[in-house]
Amino acid sequence: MSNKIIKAGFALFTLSSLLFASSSFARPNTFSCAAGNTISKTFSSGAAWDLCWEVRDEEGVVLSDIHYKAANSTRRKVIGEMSLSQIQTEYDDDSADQFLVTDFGLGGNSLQTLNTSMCEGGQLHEYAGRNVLCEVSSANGYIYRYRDNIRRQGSKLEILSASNINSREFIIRSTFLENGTIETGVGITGQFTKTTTDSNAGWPVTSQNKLSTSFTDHFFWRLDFDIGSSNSNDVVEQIKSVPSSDRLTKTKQTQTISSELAASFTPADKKFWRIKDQSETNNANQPVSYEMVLLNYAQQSKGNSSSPWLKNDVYITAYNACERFAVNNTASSCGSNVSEFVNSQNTNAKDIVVWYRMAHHTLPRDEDFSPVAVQWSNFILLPRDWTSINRL
Amino acid sequence: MNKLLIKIVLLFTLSLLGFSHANAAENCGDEFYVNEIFPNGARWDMCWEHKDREGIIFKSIYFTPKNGTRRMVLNQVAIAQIHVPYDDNGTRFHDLSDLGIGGLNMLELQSDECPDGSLIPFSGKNVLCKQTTKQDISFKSGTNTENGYYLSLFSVSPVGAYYYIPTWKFFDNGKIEPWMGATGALQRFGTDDSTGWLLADNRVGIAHLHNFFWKLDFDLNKTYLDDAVEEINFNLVNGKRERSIIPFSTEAARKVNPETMRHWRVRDKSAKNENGHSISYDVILSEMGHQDIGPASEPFTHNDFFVTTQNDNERFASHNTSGGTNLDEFVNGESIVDNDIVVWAGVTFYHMPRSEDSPHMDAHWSHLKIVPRDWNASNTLSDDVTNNAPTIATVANLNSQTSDSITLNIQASDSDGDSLIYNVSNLPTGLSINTSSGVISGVISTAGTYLVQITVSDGQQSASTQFNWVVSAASTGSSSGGGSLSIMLLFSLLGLILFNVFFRFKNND
Repeated sequence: MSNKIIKAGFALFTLSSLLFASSSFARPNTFSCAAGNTISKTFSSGAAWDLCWEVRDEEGVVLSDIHYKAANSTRRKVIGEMSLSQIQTEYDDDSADQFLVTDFGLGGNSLQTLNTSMCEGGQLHEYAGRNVLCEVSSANGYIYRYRDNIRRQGSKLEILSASNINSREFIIRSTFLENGTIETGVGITGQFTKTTTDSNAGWPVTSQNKLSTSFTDHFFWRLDFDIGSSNSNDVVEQIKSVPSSDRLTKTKQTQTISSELAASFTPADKKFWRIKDQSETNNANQPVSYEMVLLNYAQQSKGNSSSPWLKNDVYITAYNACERFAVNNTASSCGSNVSEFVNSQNTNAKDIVVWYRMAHHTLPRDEDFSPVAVQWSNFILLPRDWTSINRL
Repeated sequence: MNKLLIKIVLLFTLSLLGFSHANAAENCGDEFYVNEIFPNGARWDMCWEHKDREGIIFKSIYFTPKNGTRRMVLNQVAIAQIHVPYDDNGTRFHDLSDLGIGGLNMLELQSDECPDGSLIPFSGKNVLCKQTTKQDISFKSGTNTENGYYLSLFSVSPVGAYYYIPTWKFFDNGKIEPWMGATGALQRFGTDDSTGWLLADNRVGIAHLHNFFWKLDFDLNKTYLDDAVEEINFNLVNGKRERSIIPFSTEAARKVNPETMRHWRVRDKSAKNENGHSISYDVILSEMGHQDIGPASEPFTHNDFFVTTQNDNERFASHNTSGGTNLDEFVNGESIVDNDIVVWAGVTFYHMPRSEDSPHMDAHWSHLKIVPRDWNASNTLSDDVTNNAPTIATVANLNSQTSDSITLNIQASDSDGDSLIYNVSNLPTGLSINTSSGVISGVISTAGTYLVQITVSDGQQSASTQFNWVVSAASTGSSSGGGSLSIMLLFSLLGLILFNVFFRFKNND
């Protein structure tokens, strides 16, 4: 496993993407989006989102410079860059793990050409002469409902792309709600082509009873938060609500994460994290922040090997341009995986990157043949005190 | 055009026939019958009923796959509790059993609350919204893609300052998702910041849990005495995951287990699909990131999934009024073999208030998934169209040296999304191809010139490509890295042609 893997081929393509990469990786405070790559949406309430997108060979579609403007409030930056920084697939029969983002890439030829039926009512965006990104706005049901017929229906902006790797397909979707909520996730579909001889590591499918191998995907999201106008003064808080010994009451405990941290979920303590700006506040003087609502837990195993990057769920690091892939990070000046990125750097009022590992186990079924009915693994980023009241 | 017309006429005729026979409500009055046939032909039909406590419940729930057989999935589903303990222990509500979400606690919905849907009345009041929604993507494999549809049914019930939105989603592929939205306004405020969140108006919104429970009376294929409930774990043994299926023989209360990625399955013991596999549904608790493990007085919060025998007196997960008082007592050792089985599932949302929650609180949502497993023999929504041949990318001629370690990924695709099988002839000695992934790998052992032919087949049609692979003998002392380098140089000249090919060269160091 210590083999150094040199990836060649793609000569011209790689060369150009390297040039592109060198400018896009340093995430400057004055970020400038490539011409034609901005997406913006203003809802009827006046709430608005704007962001930039780009395509990389490895991560596929990467969203950056994401701003939210609450209705009747200030436009502020939320995220510098959001990418799917690795997909590790572990097969239940212990056949070789795959690291899809670095071994194959979600961009390049993996990135699928979308047709209008996959983007109904939306707008397709081109990259390298192909329609690869769907932008669509639609109604999203209730924002809230209250007494005296106080009620509001909301809308959302959705951005979607698809990548095909060895016949498996990954739909990558981010939804931006009118109330500031971001919901992001991966839907797996395509074909399950792997079979096994190990009867406990697969499920008999089709009339031939072939054993389709069951497996776990670990999706590693890289979230470079840049709350407010400065990208270098974000503060992460870890908040727990600890039950009393009789479990009748809970006491909130807030801890500022002052140096890099690898953390695991503790659902019984309701542990969660929020990223706040050190200086910018809402008009009631509360720090503006986003919290991570990470509800995916029932399949959040720590992997089949003792790989250190699978041992935790959330990693908080100081921004480092060469920390790009959660696993198989090849930049020589950086650690090779996210567990090594956590090396005691100060994270108090810094440029913060949060890495979130989301695990999803699949036991194939007859219904997946074929194609596989999409299975989503989503997480939510929720504004917390972004505004002093509900602006909708 | 003609074909389409015939199809439409046929569908129309079929639906007319259907309504006059099989589609008529057989288990309830027409006004309580929901019968949704999606544009692709899949169908859900069921009855609904109003109850003062549970609100709208659903009975006799049947799924008909596209071109498939109509079968009962569930005899009855209902919300079984909304338990809301506050962090300061100031109060611990049991909203459903104590207050109820039916009757006067059910809102009259306005048409703008049910966009593109239809409102269904109870006692002259529009209480239920029925909508059919087209999804983004139901599946995709190359160009074989479908959006898919789901039926959703919801009502809205205020309980105190909270407004609950129980929603049932029935998908055209047989999946069911019970959802619960909670909106309205925060109910309780205090002054102690350690029990909640200091809001902009200097009140502390007190943190609280919503423990939502559902009671699911499965009667797969309508035969109510031959369902089995199984727990499936994937145990880690020497780097492998060994699937272990444990059938329950008596009533049980169980927790999720991330390390074994546990889920549960309800299976009919006699009915099989066309592949000979038992028809079943998986119950997947996908949102367990918040959990309540409450005080000893609330043992029903100590587990997530429960199996009991069906008992009409067992209605509420807690504060149950006749029979046992809560789920923990319902699980009392009765045999579930050859008995009518009920599954209970709980999902928790922990609400730490935010300033945005005032004066009105945006809805937060919780759900679980009930997913068919081998209910159908295949993906019933995928059209079997005329087969398209696969395509294979050109591979440029290659130069290597003996003892080079090679990993070469042959790129092929199939617009129908078929599984592909790779075959190769005349590979340099020492190399082999993975017939399902198309990866050529190994260490070259013998010099020579090889005309390599690669063929990829989708089972019906195939495509092939060929190229020359010149293998020279490695000079003494030269490392395999040298071989890699020369190939890299060659590749940079052929970069455009190699667009479709990944090469990885392993350099042992």
